Amino acid sequence: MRRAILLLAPSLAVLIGIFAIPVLLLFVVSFWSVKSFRLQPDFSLAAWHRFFTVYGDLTLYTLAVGLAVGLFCTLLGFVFAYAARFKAGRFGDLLLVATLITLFGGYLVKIYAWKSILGADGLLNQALMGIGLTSQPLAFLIYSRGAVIIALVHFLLPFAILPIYASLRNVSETTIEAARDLGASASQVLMRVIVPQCLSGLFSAFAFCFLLAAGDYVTPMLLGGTSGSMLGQFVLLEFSTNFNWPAGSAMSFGLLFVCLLVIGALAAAGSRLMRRGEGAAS
Amino acid sequence: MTSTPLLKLSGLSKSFGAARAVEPLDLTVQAGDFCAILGPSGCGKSTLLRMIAGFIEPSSGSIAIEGRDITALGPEKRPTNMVFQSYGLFPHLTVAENVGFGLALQKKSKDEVSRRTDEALRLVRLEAFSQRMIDRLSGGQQQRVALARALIMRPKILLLDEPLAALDLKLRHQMQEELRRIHQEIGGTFIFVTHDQSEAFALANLVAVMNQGRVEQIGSPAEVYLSPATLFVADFVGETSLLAGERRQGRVTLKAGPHFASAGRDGPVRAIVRPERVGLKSDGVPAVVTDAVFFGASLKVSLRLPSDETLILRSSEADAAARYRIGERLAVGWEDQQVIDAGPG
Ligand SMILES: Nc1ncnc2c1ncn2[C@@H]1O[C@H](COP(=O)(O)OP(=O)(O)OP(=O)(O)O)[C@@H](O)[C@H]1O
Ligand SMILES: [Mg+2]
Repeated sequence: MRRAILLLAPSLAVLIGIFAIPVLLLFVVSFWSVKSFRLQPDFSLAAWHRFFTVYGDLTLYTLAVGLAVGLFCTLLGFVFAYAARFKAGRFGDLLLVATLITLFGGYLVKIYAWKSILGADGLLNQALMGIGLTSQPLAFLIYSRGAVIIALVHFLLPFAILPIYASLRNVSETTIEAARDLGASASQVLMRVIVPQCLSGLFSAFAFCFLLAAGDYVTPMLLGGTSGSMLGQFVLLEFSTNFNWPAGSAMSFGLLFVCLLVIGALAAAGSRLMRRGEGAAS
Repeated sequence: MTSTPLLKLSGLSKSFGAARAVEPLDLTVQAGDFCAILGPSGCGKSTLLRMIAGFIEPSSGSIAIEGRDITALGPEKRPTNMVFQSYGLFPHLTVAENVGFGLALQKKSKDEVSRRTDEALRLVRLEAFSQRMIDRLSGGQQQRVALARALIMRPKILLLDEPLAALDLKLRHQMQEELRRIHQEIGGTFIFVTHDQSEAFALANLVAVMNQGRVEQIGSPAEVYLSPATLFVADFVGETSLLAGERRQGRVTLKAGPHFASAGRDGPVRAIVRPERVGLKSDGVPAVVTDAVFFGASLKVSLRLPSDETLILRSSEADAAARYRIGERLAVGWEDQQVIDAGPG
């Protein structure tokens, strides 16, 4: 035990030095105040007050976008990973690699691609007008919450596919055959045998996509317009233009805490599901 | 009696691409039978069993249970249940949940599920483990969970694919006893696959011997053992010695020397000699002991005959070890043999 602690010490020190201390410092800053563009190291709740009053609604919207992206990614990721694992035969791995290569790739490239698809003179509007469904370009396609969600799902999907595929690889075919032998229909096999065996993969996929989406500020900046803006953009604004570090800090930590709360609640629900058996086993 | 058999396979076969895994075969199993499908690795046993279970679609032929054709039904709709070689237990469920899985799918009441789960666990003597997770069980215990999970469904036919192959010898014998006891207790119909002839003989009342996708012989263990239909069966079943010879006008002369009367076609034959029928005989065939292995209850002796063939002898006499020393020259004989046409070559 002591040996283990000693062996861990160097990496712990590095982690604390480059991660924990700066984060802690930033957290302390959220209780400072700003007077004529200068940080005042005192104790004030002004920044947190500003977070709750001015940015409260936006935080909830941001969470909603994160949840939506997380859910879509997990769902699509599962469908894709399932097909690669069970429908593609021995080409599963190959299919996965091929798709990941096409799905990974420039973040900005993807955003601009969606801009040229959803924009006023973009592909989709041209097509809609071409077949005569609309006479005017549909303005709501781009610069909306929907556009942000679509682009984020597209960008984050590989991060969902990977952990789900990894956990599906561990589901043995024999358990599926056994379930069918015992009378399970296709949907019962899915819900009672496959999904329960890959819960951890589904959870990592969701957590990853949710956190990355909720913290994003580039996509809403380029595709969100006014109706699709997210908290991250305003954190940036407070830090840079407004030079209000305490507010920016309070907002970052506020969002972080809320996100952790969501993930924690989900993990608790998940482990309660798992514990039915585990607890009884010990 | 003209009642319809429980299971009837007619012309059933399976090809994977160009390769024939199972040649067209017929098999009839009556209710209450304990049927063994016996054969070497790769002969198509699993393929046959999985066709009966519904996991493999046959290339030709039909499967009928109690006269009803079920060839087109999926495994979830067949009145059969399977014990898989690798068990296929659900790792996310407890022992009791594993066993109750099939009944829970049928939307049976909680009471009934738990009552019958207890019953099934009692049958395989795992009552004390009902709340364990699967990964905390030994191999033999997992095997019994798999058995209970299939038995609880009260299948018309229980299919077992080498259920004991993964167990060590002692546990295997124990589980053979258990299987026999359970078969008698519930009076069901079992079909099990094995490559171990002693296991097949210990359990089954009906044995189908397979070789390269063909069923070579179907019969009771005694029939298969005492009058094998083909050379392959004779060789595969038991430690027999096969001695080459020639039949001329109702008389067989073995290369090793002995000759005896035997009706049949002229031509090359093989004489099948059982090791327990061989013994010392003063005017017998000269032989040299090349090997002697002690098996506790008996001694297995390999003898080289003048024809350079090997003859196996088994003796359970107390002084056997002293009598059959390696290098010893003796004269041996046997009481009776069975003769099979060997065909040219
Ligand atoms: N899905 C498949 N595709 C192609 N060939 C197959 C397939 N399944 C089995 N075979 C072939 O069919 C033959 C019979 O296989 P099977 O699994 O029935 O053998 P087995 O008697 O059960 O052997 P073992 O005792 O080793 O389990 C083998 O030669 C095998 O290679
Ligand atoms: Mg097999």
